[in-house]
Amino acid sequence: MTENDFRNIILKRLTERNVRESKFEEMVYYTHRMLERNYELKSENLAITLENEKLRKGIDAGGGIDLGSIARIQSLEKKLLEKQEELMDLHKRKSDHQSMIIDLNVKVSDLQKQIEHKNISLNEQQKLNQMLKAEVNLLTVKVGKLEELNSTLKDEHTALHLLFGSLEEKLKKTQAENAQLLERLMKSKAKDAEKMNEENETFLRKKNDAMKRELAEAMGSDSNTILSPPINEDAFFHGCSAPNVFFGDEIPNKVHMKFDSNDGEVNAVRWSPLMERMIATGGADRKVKLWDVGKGNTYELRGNLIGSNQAVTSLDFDSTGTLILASSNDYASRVWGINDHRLRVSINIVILSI
Amino acid sequence: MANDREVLKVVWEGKIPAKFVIDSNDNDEVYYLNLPRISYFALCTDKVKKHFQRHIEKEDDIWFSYMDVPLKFHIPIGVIYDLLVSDNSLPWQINVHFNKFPEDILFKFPNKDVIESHFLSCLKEADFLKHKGQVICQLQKKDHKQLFLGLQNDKFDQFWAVNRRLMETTEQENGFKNLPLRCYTDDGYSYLQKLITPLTEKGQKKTLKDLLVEFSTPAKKPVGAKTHGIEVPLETELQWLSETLSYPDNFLHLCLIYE
Repeated sequence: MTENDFRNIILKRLTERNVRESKFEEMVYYTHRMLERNYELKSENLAITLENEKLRKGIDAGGGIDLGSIARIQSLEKKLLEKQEELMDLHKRKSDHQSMIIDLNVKVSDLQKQIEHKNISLNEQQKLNQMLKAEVNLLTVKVGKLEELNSTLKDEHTALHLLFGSLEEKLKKTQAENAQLLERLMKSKAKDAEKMNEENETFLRKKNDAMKRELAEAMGSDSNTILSPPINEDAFFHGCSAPNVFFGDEIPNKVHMKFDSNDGEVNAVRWSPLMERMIATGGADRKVKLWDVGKGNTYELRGNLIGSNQAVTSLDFDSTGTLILASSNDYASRVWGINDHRLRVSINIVILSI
Repeated sequence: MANDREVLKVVWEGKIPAKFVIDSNDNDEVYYLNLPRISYFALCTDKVKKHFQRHIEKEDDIWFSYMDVPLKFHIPIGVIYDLLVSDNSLPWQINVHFNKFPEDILFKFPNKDVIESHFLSCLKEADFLKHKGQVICQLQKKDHKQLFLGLQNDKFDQFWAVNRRLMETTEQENGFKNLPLRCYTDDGYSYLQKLITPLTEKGQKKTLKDLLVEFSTPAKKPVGAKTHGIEVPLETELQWLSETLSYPDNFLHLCLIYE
């Protein structure tokens, strides 16, 4: 058997089967139709029964009036009912509309309020805006001014810079000049010292010579024991009693009294020429002090003469003893009165020198 | 395969007229329905349920029987008919029950998802036998859905658009690896399942005759097989039979006929 044969057999049998089994198809179909129809009729029947019931009730209410009028009355009643329903419907709608209108009114007022709010805020914002604009203008003007100022300051700065440069140059020049002058000064000083030394030497030589001459004369005139040279100096001084002969000073070897006159260094002291036991001291504390040095070891401060700005270097009394002159490291000399301790004259020496 | 479409269409259209009767004495209500052979009870008894609604207390409890044998929900209707109705009497009278659900015999199918998953698992088993599961794995979720919906809504083209791929063989293979088939004995619902190749060791195509030999035991020897309500010729090639006369679950359900 080939494939087609058994295939055909199977197909034939299947077709036969379908034919056999589909005999009932129509029956099933119509059963379904019938059942559906049945359902429909049942529901229809139910509706009719309900209607019937209603009608029966209507008849009971209507009583003995004949059928035609009943039908008319019924139809009129029905119409009336319909109209009433319509009326009700309209009333309902009307009330709906009214409520809607109220709602809308409320909404409108709300919106108006909102608009007012918005307007107010808008005005405020505009005002603010104007203010801010004015401020901005002010600020821009200020900025312009500041810029101008800045530029002038810059110009000044550059000018000053230039000036500073030139001044610096000048300073350098003067410094160099100064150095040169100093050098020259040193040289001249050295020369001066040399000269002084020479002078001293010549002076000493002359003195020695004179002394030798005098000694020789004395030896010649005097018949006293001849002291063979070299002469003992000490013996010579002690032995000498002639008034025209020159005396050696005594070297102080004992401190009579001692006191702290000035704070720091003491640069100058001077006895008063007229007033007894009066001395003046000047020192690094920029003061000239007047002291009464009593008999015994007592001392008393008479006055402070102030006015110096630097240390006092030197001082002197005038011949009358009423004024005192002091020099100071601040390039100035000052004159005070002794009795009233007042500054009389202050002279800047530098100015003087010019 | 153009010729096969004719056969497939005829197989697809097979319907059994059934008469549903309530299983109680005081009620003579009946309901007629055409049941598709290839479908399942769980898929086509919605109308029955609806018709008998006022008798139903719990929806899950409805079940059917024929001559006191409960009808299984997960076996194709055609197979059940071929198994149980020996005299081919029409219409098929089915009793409807609303209580005493025989839970030891029947599985409950509360919704269509359960029958769908059962159907898909059958498809997978069949494809594993045929192609080692390669084709079913390539199908997408929507293809699975399309297969089931085609069956549920009785759409031949929708179903076969996808099922065609499951039934195809390549030239080198010359047939399936094994044939997915279940041979029902005459003992209720019990069936035999064996690994059956479509070719003999010599490379010839096996026929139904060869199959019957493989399923015969010393005690019982089948002489024929029935499926889709017809007796299959002994000379039918098994490969063709599997491709053409399989149920939608891709299994060949054969009812063996003994002497």
